[in-house]
Amino acid sequence: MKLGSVVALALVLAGIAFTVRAFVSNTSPYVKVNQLETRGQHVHLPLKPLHDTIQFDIKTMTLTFEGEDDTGRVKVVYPKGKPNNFEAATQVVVIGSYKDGVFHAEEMLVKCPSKYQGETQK
Amino acid sequence: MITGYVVVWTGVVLALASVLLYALSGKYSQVVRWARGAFVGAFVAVIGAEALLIYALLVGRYDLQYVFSFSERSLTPLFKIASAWAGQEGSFLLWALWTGIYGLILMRTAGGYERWVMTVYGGVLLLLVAILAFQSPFAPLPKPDPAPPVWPPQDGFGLNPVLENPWMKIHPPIIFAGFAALTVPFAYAVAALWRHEYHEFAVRVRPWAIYSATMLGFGLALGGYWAYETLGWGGFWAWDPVENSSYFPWLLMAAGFHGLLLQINRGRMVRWNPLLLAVPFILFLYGTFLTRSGALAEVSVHSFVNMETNALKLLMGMLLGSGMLTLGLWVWRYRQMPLPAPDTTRGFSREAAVRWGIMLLSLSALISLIGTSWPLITRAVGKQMAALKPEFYNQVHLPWIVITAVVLAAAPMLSWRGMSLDAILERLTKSWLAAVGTGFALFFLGFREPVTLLICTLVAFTAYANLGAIWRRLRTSRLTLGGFLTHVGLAVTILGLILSYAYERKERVVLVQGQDTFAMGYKWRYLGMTGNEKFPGDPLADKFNRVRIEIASHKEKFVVEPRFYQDQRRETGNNVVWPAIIRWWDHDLYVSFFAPPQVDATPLTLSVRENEKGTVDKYTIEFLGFQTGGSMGGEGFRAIAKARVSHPDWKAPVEVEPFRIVTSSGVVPIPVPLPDGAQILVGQMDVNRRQVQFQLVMVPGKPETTPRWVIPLEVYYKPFTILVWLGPPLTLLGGLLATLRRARDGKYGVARATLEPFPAPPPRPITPRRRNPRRAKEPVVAHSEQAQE
Repeated sequence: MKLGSVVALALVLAGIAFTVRAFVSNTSPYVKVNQLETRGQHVHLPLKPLHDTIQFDIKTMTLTFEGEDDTGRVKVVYPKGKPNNFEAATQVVVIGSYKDGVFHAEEMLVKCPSKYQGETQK
Repeated sequence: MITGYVVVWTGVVLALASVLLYALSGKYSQVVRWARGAFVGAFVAVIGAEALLIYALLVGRYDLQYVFSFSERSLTPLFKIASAWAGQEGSFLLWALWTGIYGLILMRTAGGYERWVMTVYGGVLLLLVAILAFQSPFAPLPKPDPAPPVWPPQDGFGLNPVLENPWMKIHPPIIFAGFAALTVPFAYAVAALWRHEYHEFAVRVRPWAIYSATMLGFGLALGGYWAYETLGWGGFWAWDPVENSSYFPWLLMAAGFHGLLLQINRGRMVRWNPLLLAVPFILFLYGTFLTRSGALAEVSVHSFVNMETNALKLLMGMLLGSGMLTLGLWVWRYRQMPLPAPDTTRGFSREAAVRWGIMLLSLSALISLIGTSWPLITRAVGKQMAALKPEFYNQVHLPWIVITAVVLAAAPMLSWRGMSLDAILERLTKSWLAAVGTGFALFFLGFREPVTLLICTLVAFTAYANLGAIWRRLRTSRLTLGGFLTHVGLAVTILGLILSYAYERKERVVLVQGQDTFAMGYKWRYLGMTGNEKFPGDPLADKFNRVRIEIASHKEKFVVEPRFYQDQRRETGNNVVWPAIIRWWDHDLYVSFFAPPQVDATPLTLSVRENEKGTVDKYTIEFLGFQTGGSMGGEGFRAIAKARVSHPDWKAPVEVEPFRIVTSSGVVPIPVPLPDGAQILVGQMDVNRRQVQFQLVMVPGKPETTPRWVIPLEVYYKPFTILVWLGPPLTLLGGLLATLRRARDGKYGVARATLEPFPAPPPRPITPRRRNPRRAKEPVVAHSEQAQE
C-alpha cells in the first residue's frame, strides 16, 4: 500500500508537470495591433478586415488583406486559401506571428454577422 | 401573439405555485395534491407554448420575430418544426419542455423524496419559464421605419443553411434531453443535503444519473457527426468552447454515477456524491452562460447572440444560486455526514479501479473546464487575455487515455475485495493477447507510429476485456451487462477517433475546368455544376447547387458532389458549403472546399504607349489614343482606348474601341470581340504616361486565356471512421440498459453490502398508484450482483 501511494503520487506529479507544460506551450495571448512590435509572436489578433483591400491569388491560394482594430492597421498574409465565409466576415481572429511589418497568419477564425449560433467555419 | 405570452406567464405562475406548495407540503400534507396539480399545469403551459410556436412556424406567422428570423415558406414542414429550436428562445423552450417531461416522471417515482426533490426541481422549471417570459419566442417583429409597402412580411428570413440538414431534426432534441436530465440529479443532491439523508438518495438518483450521462453522451456524438458531415473541416471534434461546455458536465455526471456505484456497493464516497451529482448541472449552466452571454465571443468560432438583459440576469441568478446553494449546503452538512465504510480491499480491487476512473473523469473535466475558461481567467486577473489552442487538449489527453484504457480494461476482471497481481494478470491474459494481435494487425495495415499504436492497442485491450465480461454475463445475468457495453462502445469510439485523426492524409487538390489533376492516387476532373440548369451564368445562386467531380483510378470511377452555393439573402454573399463523403468499410474519402470556387483566366497582356505598337503571341496592337464618354468620374463614365489589332491570319487589321466603365459596383472592363473569336479588354491605364495595358482572352489555341472554374478542394483520407459510427450506439444501448436496471432498484429497494436498506417509501397520502410489480410487492432485499463477487 505504501509503495502504491508513492507510485500514485509520482504519477500525479508527472501528470501535473505534463499538463502545465502543455498549457504553457499552447497558450497564445490576444493582442492589439499596436502591441505587435513588442509581442507579436504566436498570438491571437482579432481584426476587422477591410474589404476593399482583400486580394486573393488563386494560383498560390494566398490571401492578403488589411485589417484594423481600435489601435491601428496591419497587413495580413494567409497562405491557406480563402475561408468560405471570408467576404461576409465582420470580424476575424488571425493566429500567427508578426514579422517585418506583415502578420503571417497560420490559422484564421472567421465570424459572420449571422445571428445564429452553431455556425462554424475553420 | 398575445396567447403565447399568456401561456408562458401562466406557466410562470403555476411553476411558482408548485414550488411554494411543495415547500409547504411538509406541514400540510393535503397540499401535495395541489402542488402536483400546479406542476402538471406548468408542464401543460410549456407544452402549449411549444405547440403554439410550432403552429406559428407551420402556418407562417412571419409577423413574429422568431418565426421571421428562423423560418421561411419554402421549408418542408419537418424543417419548419425543426426551426422551433434553431434560435435561442426556441432552445430554451426545448430545454423547458424536457424539464417538464422529466418532472412528471420524477414526481411519480421520487417516493419519500417527492416533496424535497420537487421543490428544487420546480424552482429550475420556474426559472426556465421565466427566462422565456422575458425573452419570448412570441415577440412581434418590430416594424421598421419607414414601413415597407407589405406589412407584415409574407415570408421569413429563413433557416440558416448550415442548420438546414437532417441532423437538425434530431441532434438538438437529443442533446437537450441530456441537458434537461442533469437537473434531476441536481435536485436530488440538494434534496439529500437538505433532508440529511444519503442512502435512499443514492438508490433513487442512480437511474437518473446514468440516464442523463447516456443521453448527453449520445447527443455529443450526434453533434460530432453533424460537424463531420456538414461543416467541412474534416473532423468530428474540435475542442470549441461550445463543444467543451457540454463535454465537462458529461464527464462529471459519469464520475457521479460511478461514485454512486461505490456508495451503494461498498459504502464509500458517501460524502462526496451529493456534490459530484449536483455539479454537472451547475457546470452546464456555466457553459450556457459562457456561450450565450458573449463572454467568449472573441474566442470561439461559433457566433453568439447576446441574451435579453433580464433573461441573462435570470440565467446568471440560476447559476450563482444553484452553485452557492449546493456548495453552502454541502459544506454545512459535511461534518455531520455518515462516514464512509472502512477500506477493506486488498491488492488490486475493482473498488480502486472505479475510484481511479472517477478521478480520471474528474481530471479531464477539470482540465477542459479550466482550458475553456482560460480567456476569462486571464482577463479576470488583469493579464492579457489568452486562449488555448485545441492542440492543448489533444496533448493532455494522450497520457490520460493510456491510464484510462488500462483502468477500464482491468475493472471488469477485478473483484470488489481485491486480488493479487498474479491473479489479475492471469484473468487479463486473453484480452491482452487479443489486443496485441490487433496491434500487430494495425502495424501490418500500415499504422506504424509507435505512440498511436500503443494507445490503440491499449484501447483495444479495454474493448476486449469488457467484451469478455459481457460474454460471461450473457449466460447468467443479462441485465447487468449495460455498464460493460458502454465501455466497449466508448473504447470503439475512441479507437475510431484516434485512428481517423492520427492517420488521416490530407491533400489540397485545385481542379481547373477542362484539366485532369492527379492526387491521392486518383485522377480528378471537374464536370460541372448542377446549378447551371436553373441559373445559367451564376450556378452558385442555386440553393441545391452541387459541384460535380469525377474521381477515377484504374479500378473504379465515381462522381462526388460536394455542395456549394452563395446565400443571396445575406448582403455579401454568404458561402455555404457541404462536403461530400465517399465511404468504404475501412475508410472515408472526404472532399470539401478550402476556398470558394471561382472563375479564373490568364489573359495575354501587352502594355503599349500611345501611337506605338507591340506584339503579343501573333497579335500586333497599335494604341491609337484615349477617348472619354459620359460625365467625368460619374456613373456611366467611359474611358475608351482606341486600338488597331492585326494578326497574320487575318485579311486586314481591325480597329476596336474597348473601354472601362464606371458602374455602381466599381470600374468594369467591357470586352470587344476580334475576328478569330478572341476578345480584347483594357486593363490598367496610365493617362499621364499615355500608356495602356491590353488584355486578350478566349484566344483560340490558348485554353488558359479562357475563363474557367477553379475548384480548390481539400481532400482527406480518413481510415476507420466506421468505428466512430459503431461505438456511440453501443454506449447508448448500454446506458439505457443500465438505466432500466437501476430504475428497478428504486422501486423495490436494494440491499447494499454495507449499508442498511432504506425504509419502504411511505404510502402515498393522496392517490395511490396501481403498481404491477414484476418481482415483489414489498420492497425486498434484492441481490446486488456486483456485491457478491
